[in-house]
Amino acid sequence: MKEIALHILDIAQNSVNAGAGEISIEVWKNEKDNRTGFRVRDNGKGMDLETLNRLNDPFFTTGNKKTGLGIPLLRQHAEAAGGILHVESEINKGTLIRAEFELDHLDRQPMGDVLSTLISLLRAYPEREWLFSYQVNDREYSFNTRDIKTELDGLPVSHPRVIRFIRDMLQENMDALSK
Amino acid sequence: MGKVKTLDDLRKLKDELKSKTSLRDKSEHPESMVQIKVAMATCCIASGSRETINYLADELEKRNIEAVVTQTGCMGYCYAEPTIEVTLPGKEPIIFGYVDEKKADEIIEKYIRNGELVEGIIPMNYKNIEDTTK
Ligand SMILES: Nc1ncnc2c1ncn2[C@@H]1O[C@H](COP(=O)(O)OP(=O)(O)OP(=O)(O)O)[C@@H](O)[C@H]1O
Ligand code: FES
Ligand SMILES: [Mg+2]
Repeated sequence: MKEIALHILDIAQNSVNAGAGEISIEVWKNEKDNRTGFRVRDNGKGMDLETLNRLNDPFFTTGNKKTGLGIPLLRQHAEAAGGILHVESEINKGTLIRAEFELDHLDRQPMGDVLSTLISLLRAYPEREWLFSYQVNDREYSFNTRDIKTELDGLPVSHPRVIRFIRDMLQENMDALSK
Repeated sequence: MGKVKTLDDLRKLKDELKSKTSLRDKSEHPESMVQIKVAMATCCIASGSRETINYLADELEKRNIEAVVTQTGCMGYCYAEPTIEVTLPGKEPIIFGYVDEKKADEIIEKYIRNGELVEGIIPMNYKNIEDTTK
């Protein structure tokens, strides 16, 4: 993966596959602590102990193919950049995955295009509820599709004009935080 | 510097869109629209499927083609990722491989618009991951 933002997309995809109706994505950068990272939390079907124990095995998957690379790859990248991967899961309740990286580590991938990741998820899964929080040092911007849907009053979130609006709104607010 | 968009602006957009279209009717009949699925497992994402899905959705809108673009898991043609499945109304689904932005553009112009075949079609059930790894 060339970007951390692509890992976010991949980990959120696991949540979708777990049948989650609500998926929350937090992304942060903290210069004082020299940390950056993300957290994905879902209310999907969760994992049993056996699954949790095998998460680092790239040949373990419950999907329809031969490999389960997402989590092992993320762990490898986080640890190579002075960070950690934390996984918590409870069956029938949900899963939380947090990846942290050292901000100024030479081997850290760039954060990349978080917005493109979010937009691709909204486009593909407009019926789920997405919560998004973006934190730069001690400032935060947050967004959730419930508020959007209330405003839209039945108009689909995936409507191209609505997607474009959300993209602009997120972009402007995220830029404002980074200033 | 312009003002940052808020939910109030979204309400205005909604009023504008609602007053002039029958969007809801259309989304209730997806079989009458072009349907595209983009494979989005880990390896697909690493090979560029996020750019493919966003490009397709943006370009179809710009070119006024009504389509439903969604994601799917690994379709078994990992050697040719990014892969997409395109279903034209009333036709059988077709899978295309190596769909970067250039290929996506060609698929829109030739196959979606005119029903012409383009290079990169993967014969279904011909060489999928099951056959190649067993
Ligand atoms: N959020 C989640 N909720 C429930 N189960 C999960 C979740 N994330 C991962 N899993 C389980 O862990 C397994 C391994 O996940 P991982 O992302 O490493 O591979 P994968 O999703 O199976 O395949 P790939 O990521 O290569 O497309 C999954 O198949 C699934 O069973
Ligand atoms: S993992 Fe991408 S098509 Fe199979
Ligand atoms: Mg995965």
